[in-house]
Amino acid sequence: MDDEFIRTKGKIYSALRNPTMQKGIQRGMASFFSNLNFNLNDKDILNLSDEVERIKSSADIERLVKQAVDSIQRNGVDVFLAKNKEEALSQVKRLTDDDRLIVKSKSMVAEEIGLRDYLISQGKEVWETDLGEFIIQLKRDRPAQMVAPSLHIPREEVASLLSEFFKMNFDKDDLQGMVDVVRRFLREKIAKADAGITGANAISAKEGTIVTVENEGNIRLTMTLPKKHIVLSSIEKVVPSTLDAVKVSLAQSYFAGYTKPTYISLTSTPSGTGDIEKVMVRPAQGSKEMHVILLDNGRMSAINTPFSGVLRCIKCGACQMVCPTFSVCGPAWGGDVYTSAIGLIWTAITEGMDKSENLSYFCLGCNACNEVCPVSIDISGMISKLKERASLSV
Amino acid sequence: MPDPINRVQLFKILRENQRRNGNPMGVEPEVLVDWSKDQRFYSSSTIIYTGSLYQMMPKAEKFVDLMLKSEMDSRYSLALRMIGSKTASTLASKLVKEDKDKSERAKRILRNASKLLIQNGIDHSYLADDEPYSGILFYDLGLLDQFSDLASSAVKIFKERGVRRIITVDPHSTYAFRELYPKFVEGFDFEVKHYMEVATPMKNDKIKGTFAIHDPCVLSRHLSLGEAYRKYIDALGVDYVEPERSGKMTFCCGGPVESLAPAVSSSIANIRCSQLRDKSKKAVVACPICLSNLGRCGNISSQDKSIEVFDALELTYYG
Repeated sequence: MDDEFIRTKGKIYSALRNPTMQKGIQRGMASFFSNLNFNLNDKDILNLSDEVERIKSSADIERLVKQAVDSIQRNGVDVFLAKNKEEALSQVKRLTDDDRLIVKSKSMVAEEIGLRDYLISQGKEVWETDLGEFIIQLKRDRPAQMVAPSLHIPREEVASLLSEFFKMNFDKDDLQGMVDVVRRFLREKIAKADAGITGANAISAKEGTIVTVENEGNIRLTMTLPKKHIVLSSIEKVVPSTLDAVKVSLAQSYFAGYTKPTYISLTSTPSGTGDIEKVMVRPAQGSKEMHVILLDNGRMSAINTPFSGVLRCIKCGACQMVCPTFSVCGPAWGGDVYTSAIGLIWTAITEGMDKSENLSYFCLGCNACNEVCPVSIDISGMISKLKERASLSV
Repeated sequence: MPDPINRVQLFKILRENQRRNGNPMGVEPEVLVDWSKDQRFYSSSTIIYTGSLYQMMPKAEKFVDLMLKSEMDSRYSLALRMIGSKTASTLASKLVKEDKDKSERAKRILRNASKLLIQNGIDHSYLADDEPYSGILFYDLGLLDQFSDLASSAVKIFKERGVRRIITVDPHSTYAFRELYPKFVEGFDFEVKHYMEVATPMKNDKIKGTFAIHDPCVLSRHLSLGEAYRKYIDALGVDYVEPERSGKMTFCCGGPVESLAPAVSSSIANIRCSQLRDKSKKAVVACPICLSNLGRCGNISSQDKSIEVFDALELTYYG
């Protein structure tokens, strides 16, 4: 009787008995909250979020995607629209058939299609270049949260994972030492890689420019050092102009709790130089070829449904970081890819309503998520819609 | 986990309680109105509305305790199942019998609310046995048909009794009437006010010490009454301090998921209690669900973590 609900509840209850995970999440949430509060005192940041809300709310995704495809092609870049996971993976396969070593930056869209495991199953050597995602790779885990994938793994566990992998001893309090070793290891891999796969924070329809925001510097290296740069992103990331795309990326960074992003990159074409007699030669120092894959995976069908608001999401993860249920259940409260708060809606869109229905009962309806969402998505309201749907059958 | 509570079981219990006793916890009607004995009411189109919430909490606590136990020990889940059946055994009824002190406390809170209104010149009546339950718990569980039926019959009763103005004592009923009823029932044209919006309490010199202020989510976030709440506490002359996560950024007490996932609920309450405890050994709330949920975890925590939780209406004193 009510097996699926009981199964979901069992998973969530076992998370309650995992103090290590809770420690990581709660430490992260506390420091996030003070950073976010700091940012919310800045009027410019509030104005920016209003503007980003307007940009994302008025976006006609279907039209923008068409325009983006034309612009990207005009830039000499291949672009593919993938309806689902299978189509996206087959494009990746075609593009990387001859490659042996592939590096990638963190991307929730890559998680949606199970990219890392797929490439490994194809016999490739694959490395995550974002530190958090690298830790996830070593642990054979999945991201706990959209911005901080290894939020649920406290320093003690990071030290033991790295000790095991690098066959050397790490002191849990020597964060510098841990990061240094990973840096050396990954730099070598990135330099030798045949292809680099990144995501995108936003894409401009008019100019076909890809915008990414980061603090580690790994995305820049991943997209420029290998000869081949593949962008794997999703259709709701397209906004009208490059200026809009930069605004979206900045807002993502502020609401993810950073006071200022270390790097914002704009990438429109493969690298080239016209320094010798104004004749264009590719590549110069960056990638030689560039490809873009835009994933749909349920997004288009969400338009004109009660869940369409999710397409405004800029994946800052603020809603997750203030959620009381997340603070005790962590990533156990989620689907296969997305967790907690807006993650329940992303799960409904990308994995199906049935998958997230039972999860909805663990939402408090406290509206903390709605309060911090920079683009005013009624996350709590959408979760209660899922609950209604689930309760219809009882 | 031998026998986790499932939805079918829980919804059945709540619906059966509602059908039998007019509230989802199955509190006997005479217990619901007991607070109003010896209170003076007026014949008025303004009513005080209790929504049965303060009165239900003592039983709800027992019920949640039983569910927590039943999720660990199958003997209790048998008892829990009996509660849902029409022929509840004496043993099962005993297990969810309200704690007497807690019931007295709920009565005191409601009496204070009524006295507060009178003192502010707000004459009001009380529908007593006829007071309908708002249905908010059913709404929160996604049981919209049930909620919609309860909303329609509540509005019918209000109209029959000539009600024009409803003064609420808890944020959940306020939210139900103000934000939800107009969407569910045509012609909902009652004036709905939370007591903190219409009444100012007298200064209470008997209250000593500093209180960590806990914003109930529905009060401060859904209804934006955080400022009215603080004005009220200021008028009482009570010192308070803001915890991490306050006002619109408040952190939930965990109460809303206690019926389907009591263990999740109590874990969240523990976190909130420790945030409040970081600021003071005493906390003030303004919601029956927060009072019950934070109050319980405040009591069971170890000595250095314990915290006393009071409702704003308890700090409102009339001798």
